[in-house]
Amino acid sequence: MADQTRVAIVDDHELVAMAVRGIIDDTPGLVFARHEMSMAAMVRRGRDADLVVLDLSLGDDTTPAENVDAAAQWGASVLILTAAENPYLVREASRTDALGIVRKSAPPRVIADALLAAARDEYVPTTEWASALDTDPLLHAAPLTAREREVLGLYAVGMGAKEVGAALFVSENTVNDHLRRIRTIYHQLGRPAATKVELYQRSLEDGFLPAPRSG
Amino acid sequence: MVHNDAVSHAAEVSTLRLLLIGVAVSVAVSVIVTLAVADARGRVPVPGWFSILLAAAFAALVAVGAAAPWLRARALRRGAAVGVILFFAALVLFAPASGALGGTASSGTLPWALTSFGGIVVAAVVVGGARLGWSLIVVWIVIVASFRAILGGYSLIGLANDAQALTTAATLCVIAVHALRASRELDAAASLAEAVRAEQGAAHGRLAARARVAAFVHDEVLAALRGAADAAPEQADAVRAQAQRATAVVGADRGASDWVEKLRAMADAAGAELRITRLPRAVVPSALAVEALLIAARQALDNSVRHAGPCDRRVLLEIDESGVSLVVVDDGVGFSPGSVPPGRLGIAASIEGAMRDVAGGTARVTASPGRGTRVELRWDDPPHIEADFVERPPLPSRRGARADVVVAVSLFVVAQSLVAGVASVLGPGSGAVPLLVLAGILVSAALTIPAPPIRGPLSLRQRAVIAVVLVCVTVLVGLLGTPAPLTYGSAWFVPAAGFVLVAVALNARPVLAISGLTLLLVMLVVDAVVRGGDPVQLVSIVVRTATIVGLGTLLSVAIVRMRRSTRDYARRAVRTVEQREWDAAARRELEEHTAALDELAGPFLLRVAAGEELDAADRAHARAIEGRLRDGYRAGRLLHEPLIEAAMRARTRGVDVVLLDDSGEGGIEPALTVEIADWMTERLDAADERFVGRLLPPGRPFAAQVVVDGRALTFVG
Repeated sequence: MADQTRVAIVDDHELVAMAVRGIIDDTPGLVFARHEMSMAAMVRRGRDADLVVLDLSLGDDTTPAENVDAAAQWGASVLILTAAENPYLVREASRTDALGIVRKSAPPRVIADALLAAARDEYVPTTEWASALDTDPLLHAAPLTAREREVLGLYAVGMGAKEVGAALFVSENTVNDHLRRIRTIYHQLGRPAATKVELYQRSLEDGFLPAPRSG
Repeated sequence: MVHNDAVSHAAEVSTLRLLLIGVAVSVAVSVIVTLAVADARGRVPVPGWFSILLAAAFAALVAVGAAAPWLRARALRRGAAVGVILFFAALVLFAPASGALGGTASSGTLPWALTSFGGIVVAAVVVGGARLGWSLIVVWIVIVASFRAILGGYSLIGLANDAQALTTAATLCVIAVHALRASRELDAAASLAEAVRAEQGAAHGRLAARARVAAFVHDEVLAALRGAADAAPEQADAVRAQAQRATAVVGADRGASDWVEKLRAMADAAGAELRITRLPRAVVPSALAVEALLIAARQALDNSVRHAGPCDRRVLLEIDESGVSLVVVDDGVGFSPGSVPPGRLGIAASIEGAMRDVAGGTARVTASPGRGTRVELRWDDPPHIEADFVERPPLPSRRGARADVVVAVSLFVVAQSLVAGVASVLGPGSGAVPLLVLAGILVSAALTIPAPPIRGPLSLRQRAVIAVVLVCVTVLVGLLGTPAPLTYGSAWFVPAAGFVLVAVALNARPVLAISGLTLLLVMLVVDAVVRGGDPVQLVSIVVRTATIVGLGTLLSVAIVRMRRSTRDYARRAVRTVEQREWDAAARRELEEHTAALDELAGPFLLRVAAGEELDAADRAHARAIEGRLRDGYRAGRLLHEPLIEAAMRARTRGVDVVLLDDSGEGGIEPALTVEIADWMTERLDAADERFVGRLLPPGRPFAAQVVVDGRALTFVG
C-alpha cells in the first residue's frame, strides 16, 4: 500500500481508459483502481484511489475545475489528460489544483513518468501547460521575475527541467522552484469558469476555439 | 435595418418633459415678476377677459410642466399646444382689446408678459418642431412691431426689451430643436445597439454551442486515431467501436452544417441541375437564413415538379460576400398571375413569407403562361447593412441645424448692434460707452464659436474662459459708464452678456456659464446697492438674464449628455459588429475544420470501423493523422505544406512532434513565417525522438525556437 499508488481513470472513452490502464499495469509502483465515465460516478463510492487521471474535456456538462474539486474532496490528487492542445482549456485546468496536464498522444514513457511524479505528489510541468501560460494575457501583468519568465518560455518550447537548468546554468531544483512559484501565482490570477457554457464563451471571447487557427 | 416600431422613444419623451418643465418655470417666474413688480404706469389698459385669456395661456403651460413627469408624449404636446394657442390668441386680440385699432388707445407700452415669449417658442417647438417655432417668432415680430408703431413708436426700453426678447426666443428655439434632435438620435442609437446586441447574443450562443460540438467530434476522432495507432491487439474491438462512434459523429456534424449538400439532394430529387457560384469572401449564412432558404427552395421545387409539366429545371446558387442568392427556374407551362389556379398563389405567398420571416430575406416569384416560372430568393447578411450604419454613426448631425444657428447668431448681432446704436444716440451718458460695450460683447461672443474660420493657438476651453472673463469685464465697464439709475434700456448689455454665457454653456462648459451669470448678478446687485436704482427695472434685467442663461445651460447639459450617450451606443454597436465579424470568421473556421477532419481522417476511420486489420504502416499513418489534426488546433501559421509533410514523415517514423503558434494575432510577417517554417522543416527531418517547434509570443527577442531531441535551437533569421 505504501509503495503502491492506486490510480483511477475518469474518461468518457473506453479506449483511452484501456490505453492508460495498459501504461499503469506496465509501471512498477502503480496499480489500476477503477475506470468511470464521469467524476460523479467515481466519487459515488468510497475512496479506492490515490490519484485520478482525468480527461480535460468530458462530454458531460462538467468543467475541469468542478471535477478537480470533486476529486480533492474525495481525497485524491488529479493528473489531467488532454486530447488536443486548446490553450484556453489548458489554462482553465492550470488554475485548478491538478498536479499537471499531459497530452494523451505523448509517448507512453512520458505518460508513465508523469503518473509516477504525480503519485509522489509532485507537480508535472509540461510543454502544453507552459505554452498555454506563457501566452496568457493574464500572466503579462503578473508579478513574475525575468528569470521565471525565462524558465516558463524555455519550458514552453519543449525543454525539461534538466535541460532548462543546463541552459540557464542553475540546478534542476532551482528550475522546479521557479515552476512552483509560477504555478502559485497563476493560481491566484483568476477563478475557473463556473459553467461549461461560460467556459466556452470565455474561450471564444479570448479568440480560442477548438478549431484550426489559420494565420 | 431596425424596424421603426422597435425604436424606443425614452430619450425623446424625457427631453419633451425637460423642455416643458423649463417652460413652466420660466413662465411662472415671468408671471410672478409681472404681478409683483412690473410697472403698470404707462401701460395700455386692457379689459378683464383679456387678462384671463393671457392667464389661462400661462396656467396651461405651468400645469403641463408640473404634470410633465407623468405625461406621455401626446399629452405633453397637446398641453403645450393649448398654451401656445391661448398665448397667440391673446397676442392677436390685444389690438381690439386695447382699442388700438379703433384709434381709441392712448400711447403706452405693451404688457411685459406679451413680450416675454421665449418659453412660448420652446413650447411651440415641442408642439410642431423647428418650423412652428420659427413661424411664431416671425408672427410675433410682425405683431409686436405693428403694435409698437400704433402705440407711439419705440423707446430705448421698448426696443431693448423687444430685441432681447427676440434674441432669447431665437436662441431657445435653436437649443430646443437641438435637444429634440439629439434625443431622437439617442433613441435610434439605443434601439439599434440593443437590436444588434440581442441578435449577436443569440448568434454568439449558437457559436459557443457549435464550438462545443466541434470539440466533441474532434475528441472522438482523436481517440479513435490514437487507439488505431497504439492499442494492443486484444483491444481491436474497442478500437473498432471508437472508430464507428467517430465516423457517426463526423457524419452527423457534416449533415448539420452543410446545407449546400441538402440543397443538392433536394435538387437531385426534383431532377434539377444545381449550379453553385461561391465568390471570394463568401458569407456563411445564419442558421435561420439557411432554414428559410431551404424551406423556400423546397416549396419552389415541389411546385415546379407538380405544376410545370415536363421541362428543364435549374437551381442557381450564388454566395457572395454580402449574402446568398438562390434562383429556382423552370421553362414549364408557367402561369398567369391573373388566373392563378387555386393553391398556387398560396405557394407563392408562402415562399415569400418564409423569406420575409428572416432578417435580410426577400423573395420574388415571376411567371407567365408558357414561359416558365422563376423564383428568386435572396438573403442579405444583416451585419453588412448595419456596418453601413456603423460607418456613419448617428453622431451630432449639425448640418440641418446650421441654418437655425446662423439665423439666431445673425439676429443676436443685428439686435445688439441696433440697441447699442440707439443707446449710443438716445441713452444717458457718453455715446461711446454703448459702442465700446458692443465691441466687448461681440468679441467675447466670437470667442465661443466652436470651429472659427481662423484657427488661433487657444483651445476651446481657454477661449471659453477668456470669453467669460471678457464679457464680465465688459459688463463692468458698461455699468461704470452708464449713469444711474439703470433701466432695462440703458442696461441692455446685461441680457446680451447672458447670450454669450449661453454659448459658453453650449460648448459643454455649464459650470463656467453659471459662474459668469453669478458674477453678472453680483455686479448688478452691488451697483443697485451703491448707486440705487428702480427695483422694477432691475428685477426685469435680472429675471431675463437669469432665465436665458439658466434655461440655456440646463438644455445644453441635457444635449451634451445625450450626445455622449449616443456616441457610447454607436461605439458599442461598432464593437458588437466587430465581435460578429469575428464570430463569422470563427464559424468559417469551424466549417473548414469539419471538412479537414473528414478529409484527413474520414476514409481511414471508415476502414477501421469496418473492422479491417491494421498493419504497422496503418498504425504509423494513424499517428501521423492524429498529430496533423492536433496541429489544426495549435500550429496556426506553421501550417505550411513542407513543414506539414515533414511532420507527417516524422510522426510516421515515431517522432513525437508538437507545433505551436504562440505568436498571437498578426505578430509575424507572412514571409518570415515561411522562412521559419522552412528552417523548422530542416530541423524536423533530423529529429529522432521528439521535436517541438514554437512561434514565440510577440515581444520576445526571437521569433521562433525548436527543441530537437532535447537540444534547443533559436531562429535568428
